[in-house]
Amino acid sequence: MMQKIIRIARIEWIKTWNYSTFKILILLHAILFLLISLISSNIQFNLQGINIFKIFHFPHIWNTLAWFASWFNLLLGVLAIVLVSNEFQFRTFRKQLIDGLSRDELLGGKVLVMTLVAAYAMLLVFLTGLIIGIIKTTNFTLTDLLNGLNYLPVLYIQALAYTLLALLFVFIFRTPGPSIIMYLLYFFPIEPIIRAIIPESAVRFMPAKIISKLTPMPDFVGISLSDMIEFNISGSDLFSQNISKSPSLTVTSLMVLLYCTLFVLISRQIIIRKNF
Amino acid sequence: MKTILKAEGLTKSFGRIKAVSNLSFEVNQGQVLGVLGPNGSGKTTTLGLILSIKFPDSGSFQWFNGNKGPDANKHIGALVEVPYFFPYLNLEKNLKIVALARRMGLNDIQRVLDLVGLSNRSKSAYYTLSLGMKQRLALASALLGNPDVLVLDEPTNGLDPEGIAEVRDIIMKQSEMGKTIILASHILDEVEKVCTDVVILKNGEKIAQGKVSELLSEKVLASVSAENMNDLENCLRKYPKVSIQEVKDNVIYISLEEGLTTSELNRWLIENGIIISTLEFHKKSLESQFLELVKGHPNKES
Repeated sequence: MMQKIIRIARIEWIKTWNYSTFKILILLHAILFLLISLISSNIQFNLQGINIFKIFHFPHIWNTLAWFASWFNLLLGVLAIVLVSNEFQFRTFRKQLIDGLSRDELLGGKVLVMTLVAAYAMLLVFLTGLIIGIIKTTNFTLTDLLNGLNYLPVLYIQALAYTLLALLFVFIFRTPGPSIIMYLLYFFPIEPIIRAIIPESAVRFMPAKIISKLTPMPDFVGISLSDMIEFNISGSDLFSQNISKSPSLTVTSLMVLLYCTLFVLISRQIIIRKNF
Repeated sequence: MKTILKAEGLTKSFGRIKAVSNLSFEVNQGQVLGVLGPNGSGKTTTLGLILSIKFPDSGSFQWFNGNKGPDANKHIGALVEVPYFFPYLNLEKNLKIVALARRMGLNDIQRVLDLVGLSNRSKSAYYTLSLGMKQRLALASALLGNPDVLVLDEPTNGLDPEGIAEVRDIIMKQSEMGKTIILASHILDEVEKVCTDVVILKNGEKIAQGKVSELLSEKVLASVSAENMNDLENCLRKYPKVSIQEVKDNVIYISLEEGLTTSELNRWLIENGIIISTLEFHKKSLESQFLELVKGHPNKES
């Protein structure tokens, strides 16, 4: 089993790492994210007269950066579509089946790539957060730094969901153009329209809705106000308070993981029936 | 003789078009089976089915006593239709992917590139190759790891005459080494030169099957006439070295066994008291035989 995974990983590595479009898109993603993070952390934001620089301090920075990173997940989805649609365009899925890979191995290779792309997104946020946090936070403890790190696995799950949904779209449409268009249209306006039609109780189970709930917008005002309140609350206390306010983050993560599984299972049903 | 592939009743439709219809055949070890047929006769679909990239609507097949799919394919070197590789990867990396998919080491890549004359281009990106070179790379990919079975679909497609000769030479050498080869082609001459056995397809149906030497050899035909046609016919029927193809009012068409000379035939007839008035020889080309086979077959065409 392990041998099998290593073999598939080596194949995917050769294909992906030598592909210049992949490197360009990843670089573009990293640069855009770094620019947004660096610039916004150096601007004095004033919201209703309150300075909100604290969102770049530990531990709040993890939430802030996870939120920033979530804006760029669509780019990772597009990257996923490009990578997988190539295999249909070049007819290399067909070639590899002839050479003795199974349909499950073809799918497995791509799922593996998506898990690594999501891991890259998480690593990027981690390093950026670490650097900006250390620079911006004047006085912090290790607990401050570690608190809020749970936004990283959450971001990982979110990025994974975006790329695996992209995988499903490309398995359905095969060519890059229609796949990308339908993928983007799904987030807006297709799912919002569906959400407007279906009953309220079902809305919160729609995939794009749940996935976006993973990285909530930081509570700018709340975080900043906490600084002014007389009885000094430490960062960690504040954070645990935040957690208790939103106990659903774990539940939401699990639901998104369920959706990830669903996307892969549907993709599998498509590929094991496909005539190449 | 060991059976390498056994296909039974393979049927595959695309929409309303029957690409392959109730096709059965067997390939034994060491055979070079030609799958011959005009364009659109179902050759590529047939290969797609036995390589498990397409699923049959009905029928079944098995390789090496029971295997199919990935477990069989990793032991088969295949080249199907036009070559498919990653355009942005160089030849070596493309073959690396093939080697990994086939579960073999990476040390055979240089040998196969040498074999098809592409070793000087091993670091070139695939998209920079000419069509002929791409076809050679596809052949190299099929030969990677020295598989015992080769499945080749139009392997000389897109090659210049020199390339065609080289590729045929490579295939024949593989056959001499005892490999089992399935070769699809619409080029009669290719099948005749390379294959031992042949299956002829038309509109997805098998219309003939047999030894190449029997089905596709160039036969010598002669037309004979004499004053007494009845005597002539009776006499020819008794002669084992000729067989009567067609009897008309004033001429009989016969095919001659290889090596039979005119004088030999004439002597036999004279000894039997028959004086021939005409004796003409015709060589029947492969093409005309093939067209006869294809046209003569009562196919349900609408």
